[in-house]
Amino acid sequence: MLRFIRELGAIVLFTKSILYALWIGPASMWHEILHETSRIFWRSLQTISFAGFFVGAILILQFDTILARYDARLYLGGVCMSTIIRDVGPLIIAFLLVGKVGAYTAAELGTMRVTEQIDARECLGAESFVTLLAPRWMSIVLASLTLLIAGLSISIGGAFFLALIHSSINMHEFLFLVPRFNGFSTLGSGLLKSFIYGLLVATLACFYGFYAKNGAAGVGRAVTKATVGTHFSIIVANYLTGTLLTALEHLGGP
Amino acid sequence: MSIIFSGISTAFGTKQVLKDINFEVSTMTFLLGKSGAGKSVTLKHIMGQIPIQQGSITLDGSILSPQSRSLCGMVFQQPALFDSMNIFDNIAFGLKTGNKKERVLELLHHVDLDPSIVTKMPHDLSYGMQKRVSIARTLAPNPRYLLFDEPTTGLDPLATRLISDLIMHVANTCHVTCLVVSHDIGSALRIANHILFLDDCRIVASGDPKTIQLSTNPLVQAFLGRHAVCSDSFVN
Repeated sequence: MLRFIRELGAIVLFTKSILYALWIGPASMWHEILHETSRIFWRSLQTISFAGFFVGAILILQFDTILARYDARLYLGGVCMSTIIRDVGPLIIAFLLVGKVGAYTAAELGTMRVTEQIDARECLGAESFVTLLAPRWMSIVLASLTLLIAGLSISIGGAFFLALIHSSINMHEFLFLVPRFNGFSTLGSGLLKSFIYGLLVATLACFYGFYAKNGAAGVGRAVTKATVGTHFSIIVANYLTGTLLTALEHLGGP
Repeated sequence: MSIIFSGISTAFGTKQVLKDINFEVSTMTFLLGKSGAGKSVTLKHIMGQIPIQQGSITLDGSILSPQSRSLCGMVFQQPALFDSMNIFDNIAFGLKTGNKKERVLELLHHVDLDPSIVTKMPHDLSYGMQKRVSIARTLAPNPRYLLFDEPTTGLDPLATRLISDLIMHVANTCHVTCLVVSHDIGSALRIANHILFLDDCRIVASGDPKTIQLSTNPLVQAFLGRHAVCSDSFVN
C-alpha cells in the first residue's frame, strides 16, 4: 500500500514537471508536438477505425435483440448512440490506444533509457522533460483525444450501418430519438472521458518508460506496468467520472 | 585545466560506494577497478547524474556547476546513438550554432570515418563505427574534458586497440583532458599518463604506468597479470 502511494506521488510530481516543461518550453516545441500528434494519429487511425466500427456494430446487435422483444426498436438509435458516446466507445477505444500508443511509447522510452540514449541526450545539454517528455506527452494527449473522437464517430457509423442492414429500420427511425437521448451532457461526458483517458495513457506510458531500468527485462516490466496500470486506472476513472457526471446531471434537473 | 575530486564519499542506502576519494585528473587518466567498485559513479558525479553527497569536485578551480558541466562530454559504454536520427543528426545534436555540416564533417575526419555515412541510420553501421560516431557526437560541442565509461568493454583485442588509439588521437588533436573508466589494463599502460585503482571504496594505487607496474597491491598485481611479466623490461 505504501509503495502504491509512493508511486502515485511520483506520478503526480512527474506530471507536474511535464506541465512546467510545457510552460517554459520554447515555442518551437509546439511545432514538434503538432508533427508528432499527426504521426501518432495517422499511425493509429486504421486500428481505431476498424475497432470502432465493430464496437458500434456489436452494440446494435445486442440492443436490437433486447429492444425487439418489447417492440421498441424505435429506441435503438438513441440508446445505442448514447451508450457509445457516454461509456462503451471511449472505454474500448482507450483500451486499444493503451496497446497501440501507450505500449509503444513505454517501450520506446524504456529502450532509450536502458541503452543510455537519455543519459547521452542529457550530457549533451538536452533537458529530458523539455526536449523529450513534454512534447511526447502532449502529442499523446492530443492524438488520443482526436483518435477517440474519430473512433466514436466511426462507431456511430458502424452502428448506423448495421442498424440499416440488420434491424431493418430506416434512417428516419434510427435518428428519431437520438436528440432526446443525446444532449450536450452526453457529448460533454464522452469528450471529458476521452480527455481523461488520453491523459492517463500519456502519463503512465511516459512515466514507466522513462524510469525503466535493468536491460530488456526492465523494458518488458515497464511496458507491462504501463499497460496494466493504464487499463486499471481507465476503469477506475470511468467509474468516478460516470458517478460524478450522473450526480451533476441529477443536480441540474431533468 | 583539471578536475579535482576532494573527499568524495557516496553511499546508496547502507552500501558505501566511494569513501574519501581524492585525486586530480591529468591529461590522460585511467580509473581502473573491479566491476561494482564505483568507477562509473565518479563519472556520473561529474555529469550530475548522481548528486554529490559529501566532498566536492572542482573544475578549472571552481566548484562543479551545471554551467561548468557543459565543458565535459561523456562517451558511454554503449554507443547510445539516437536510433530515430541519422548519423548527421546524431553528431549535430549537441551543436547549437555555427556551420553544422562543416563541423560534422570535421568530426568524422577526427574519428576516421567516411563522410558518406552521414545519411545512414545507426543500425546500418558496425559496432566499432557506432562507437566512433558516439565519440564524434561527444566532441561536437567542443568539450574541454572527455569522460569515457568503459569504452573497450566487449570489444575484441583489435577493436580495443583501435578505440584506445582513437582516444589518444582525439586527446592530442582536440586538446582535451580525458578520464577513462575501464577494466582494460593493457590500454591504460599503453596510453595513460596517470592510472588510479579503485577498490573497497578507496583509491588503492595511483601513479604513472611505471609506478603502477611496480605496485605490490594485490588487486593491481591481479589486474596486471601478463603485463606484470613484462614489467621489468618496461621499467628497464
